[in-house]
Amino acid sequence: MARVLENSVDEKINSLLDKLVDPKTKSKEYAQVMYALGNELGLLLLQKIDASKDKIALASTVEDADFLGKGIIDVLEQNGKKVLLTVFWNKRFKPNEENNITVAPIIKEFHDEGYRNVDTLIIIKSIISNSCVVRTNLTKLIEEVNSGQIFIAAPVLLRGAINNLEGEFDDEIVKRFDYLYFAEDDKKNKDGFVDPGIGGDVYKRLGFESQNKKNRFIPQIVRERRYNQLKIN
Amino acid sequence: MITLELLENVFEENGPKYFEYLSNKNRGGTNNQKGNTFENFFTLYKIAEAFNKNIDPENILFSSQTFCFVDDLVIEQTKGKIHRFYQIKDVANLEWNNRPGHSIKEDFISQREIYLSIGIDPYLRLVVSNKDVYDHLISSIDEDIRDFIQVVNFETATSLNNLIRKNDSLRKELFKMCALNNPSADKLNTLGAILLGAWDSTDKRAISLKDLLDIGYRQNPHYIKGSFAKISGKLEGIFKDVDGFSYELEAGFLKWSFKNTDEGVLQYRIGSFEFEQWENDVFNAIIKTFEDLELFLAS
Repeated sequence: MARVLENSVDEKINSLLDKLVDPKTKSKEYAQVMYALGNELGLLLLQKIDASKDKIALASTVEDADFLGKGIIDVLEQNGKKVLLTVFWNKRFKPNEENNITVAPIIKEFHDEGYRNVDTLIIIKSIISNSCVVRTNLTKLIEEVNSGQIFIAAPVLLRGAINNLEGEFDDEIVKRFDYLYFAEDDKKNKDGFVDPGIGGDVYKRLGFESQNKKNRFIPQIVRERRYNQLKIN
Repeated sequence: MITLELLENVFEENGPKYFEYLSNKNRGGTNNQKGNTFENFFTLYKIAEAFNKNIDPENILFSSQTFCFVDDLVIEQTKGKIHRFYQIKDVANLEWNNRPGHSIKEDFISQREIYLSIGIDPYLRLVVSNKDVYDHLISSIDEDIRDFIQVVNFETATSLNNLIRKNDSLRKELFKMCALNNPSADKLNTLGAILLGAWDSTDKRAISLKDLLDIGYRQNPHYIKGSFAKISGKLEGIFKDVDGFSYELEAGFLKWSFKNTDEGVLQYRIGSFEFEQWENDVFNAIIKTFEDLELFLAS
């Protein structure tokens, strides 16, 4: 079975998803497409978040922060929500090939002040495949953040990813989860990337080359928010 | 390990029959031993426990599916003088006399008899994941085995991440073994996966704690508690000059924070080759502010 699109996907969103898949899309345009998809996810989130809940924590990986993450945040903030950002620098690796366990410890993290006390938690990722990074970051935030609703948002996910993720948490936590995505794919290519997914390795598509280079990157949104926060304090 | 000769010494003419039984049992047990099995989870717990008890890492050996009656995990210590045998069961129902002729009870009795014959009083444990099974086994244990077999309840889970969250015994041992004070779940999960991976990468035959730690140390980050607690004066000087930056050395790892916005743990163990390379990269850079330094903190 090929890609399955969600009902919310219109021509515009479909065309953005196609651009991600297109190998001719250069890094700069790819990042802009991610930002635009972030805007679209932001609009969906606005419909789902309880109107009386204004304080939101949004957690992103470093590679998604300036693009997908900022796209969502801009829409939410333009509509009166207060979004407190967390950014995680994960190192994803398999300690051993034989048992297939993947881990993604958090090497570095940035937080806006007050992120622990919010109404709503949003975890975003450009794609959810084996859900290792999302699971890691979500586990960390569930330990720290006192929120009600938890949204997990990604433009694309691999079929089965939701079940995998939910299998890692107790029912009491799982019932707080709500998912937002546009497309669901059901296979991976020979290199292990979801096909068509988001067009392969997101680090490379965004121009980071490798995981190590990605982890040396400091998103502009982090620089700005840190600067503003330190100025206030 | 049990030999035909030993079986014949103890069971006389029935020795070959027991030998054939053990051969079949051993063949069945070695199948499907990789990954998230209950046996591996329990072994992970015992590995962490051994580390935390400061047992000489060269003097404790772990084996699985050895040629024994009680064979899921065997831990040998003090050059063969202490033997701990574990039968590990992740089942919904279990009886002491489950298979007449080759029941769990008889396996434990045979294991004891064999080891007593060579002057070793073995430590014998039946480990079960299910609390109801545990309660049933405790209430139905026969008088004749009560003194030398203990039943242990060790909760299992569908994944390592879940296991660490749910199983307090394992979580406590990983907590103690982790280099960081108050480690978050991602650090415990990484440490657990590294130890499990190390165990899975061996043939599970007389593997020392040292062997397992050596495999674990090859990963970055590994978060295994170490003792190297100093950084060079030059690096200290660089850190000191960065306004708002602070750090602590926690059992071999460098945990840092910047004001109240950023924090992290350097992935390389202090004193390791990788740490020295990283330090060298820092020395070759011009670092005046946190923004100069942070480029190196997650790489």
